[in-house]
Amino acid sequence: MTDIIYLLVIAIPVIISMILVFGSPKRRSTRVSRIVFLTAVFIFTYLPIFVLVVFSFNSGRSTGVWEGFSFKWYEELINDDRIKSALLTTVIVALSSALISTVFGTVSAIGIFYMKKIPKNIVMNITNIPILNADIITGVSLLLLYNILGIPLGYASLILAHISFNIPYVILSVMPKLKQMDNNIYEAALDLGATPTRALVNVIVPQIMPGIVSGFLLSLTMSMDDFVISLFTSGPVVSTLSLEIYSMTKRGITPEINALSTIIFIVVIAVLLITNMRNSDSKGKKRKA
Amino acid sequence: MKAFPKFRLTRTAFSYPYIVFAIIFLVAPLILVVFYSFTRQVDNYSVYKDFENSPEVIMDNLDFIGYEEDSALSGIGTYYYNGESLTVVNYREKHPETYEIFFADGKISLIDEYEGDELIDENLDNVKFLNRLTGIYFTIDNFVRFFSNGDSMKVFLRSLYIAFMSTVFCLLIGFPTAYVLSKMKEKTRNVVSVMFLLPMWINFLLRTYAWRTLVEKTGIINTILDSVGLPAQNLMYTRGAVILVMVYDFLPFMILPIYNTLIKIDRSVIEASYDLGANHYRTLFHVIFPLAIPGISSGVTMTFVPAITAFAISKIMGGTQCATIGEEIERVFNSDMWFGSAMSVIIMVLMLASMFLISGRNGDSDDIGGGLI
Repeated sequence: MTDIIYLLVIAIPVIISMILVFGSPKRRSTRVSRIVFLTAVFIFTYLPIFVLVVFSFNSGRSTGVWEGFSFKWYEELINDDRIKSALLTTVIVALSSALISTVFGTVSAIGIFYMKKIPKNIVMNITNIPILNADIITGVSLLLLYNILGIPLGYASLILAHISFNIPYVILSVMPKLKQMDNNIYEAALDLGATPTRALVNVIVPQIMPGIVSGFLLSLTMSMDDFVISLFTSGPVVSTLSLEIYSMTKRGITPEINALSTIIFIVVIAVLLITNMRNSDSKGKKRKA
Repeated sequence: MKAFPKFRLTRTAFSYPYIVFAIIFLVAPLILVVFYSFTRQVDNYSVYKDFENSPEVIMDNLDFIGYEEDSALSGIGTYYYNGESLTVVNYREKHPETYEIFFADGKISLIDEYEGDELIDENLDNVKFLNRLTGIYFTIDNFVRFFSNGDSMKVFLRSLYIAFMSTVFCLLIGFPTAYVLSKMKEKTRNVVSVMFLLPMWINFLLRTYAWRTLVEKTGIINTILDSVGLPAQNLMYTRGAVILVMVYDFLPFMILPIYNTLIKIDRSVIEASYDLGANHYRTLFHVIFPLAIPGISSGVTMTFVPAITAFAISKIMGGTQCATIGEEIERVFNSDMWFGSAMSVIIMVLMLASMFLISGRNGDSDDIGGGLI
């Protein structure tokens, strides 16, 4: 009984504010409940991450009982060869697959853009397959393909798998930019004597550049974050960071994982802050100009 | 003007390598899965008494069922013979080419016909010779096995239940969140929405694992409960724990599409509704909700589809009692890829059905993946 009462103490205010949130903005109750509700969701979102970070500084082996402050697990992490090689593999696979799929995907997107309507629809529907499909089915089906083609599992199969699920993201980010592009500029370039190749490189590519960049970043994150497809296509020797974390959770857990995730979280926040600052800088410049 | 159509052709040609690539890596694998799901490989073994001269057949048409785990060597596994299940094992260290068949009432040893010649001098007891024929045949056995087996149906229904509950909770939390976010001032909401999406950039295994620390028997929630004087709760390894973490992991996928549609709603439509005399709630139910439906449906798809097949979450939070269909596929696939493929096909059909049910058609995919960066 006690646990139900305890749960209700937390749940009832949240549920009430969940309903009140939709009230008229003029009412005080709506404003208060919006803040309460957002705070509750915010705590839900950050509680595990907070715990993760705090216990990375634990001096004991436990990830749940606090025994004192130390940097012990960070030292251990730095000396862990498995993690280091997994990190290297992740970076190599993510960078190479993102680069290849960005180039390949951009070129293909330009080709698909100029196709006739029906073949274009067919190709775009096929392109959607890996995005809509469950990861595990993509992984399993690629494994079957490798079996049939006789491709050994390792770096090559892993990078190929990552390219195959990254290309659709690149195509889907480049396509809207191609649609927005003003075709007259391209024709003007041809009229002014540019060869089609030159017009492509100097006129079309700069216009779709934002799409290319976001496609690259998207495939980089997708490939860094992937776990299920890598599990099936990497084979026993090659191991990415996700696979290494997975095997760590199976082997028994130490705050080393927490230390690793703290570092990753800080890097992510830093990267986001830098890119956001840059974005706001460029926006300011545009406004001035 | 002759050069123009010629160039159009070359521009389209840019996509040809991709089309080849897509056929090999996007279409062919799915066809393979379907093909495997409707076939089984037979390893037909015949057992001979003697290897040389007039071989006397002792057993014929041993029907292969499945490999033993950890065994890459062919021929080892479980077989059916006259309705009786047999196990074939291999002593790799002692005699790599020797297999033993276990019956209910004893065993016989076998030597692979092709490799066994050298072993003949060794005078093994009860040595028989094995002739292997392999082939592939079409069957719906894999599907029959899935639907007639109580265990796999249980796992299947459990995954559906977990995925459904996770989606419902995600929607219940995600819609109000997206709504409140969309009502904020533009500068504030940009910052706050990024804050809600930040956890997505951490590896989802780590996020899942962090919940374990909280929920475990000696974890933080129980420590707090203990210090308040309440009894410790057994939260770990329950369906509730799996649903909790799935809601946590997939919540951004629900918030994001709904938020994107809500902020795109034309303000003048809402103002028109007020001008025409509708009050706040009427506007909410008759204008904003219907306009948010595309976002809701793509959010539901993006939560439900991965929730059916997510297998790491249930493995970390739920243990063996809460195994989901994804976990089952992963477990089975190494030993029996035909059955694993059949399960994958069942999931694909389910996914297609749910996508058609939810979004009517699967053309809204433009939203997916957009706005993540």
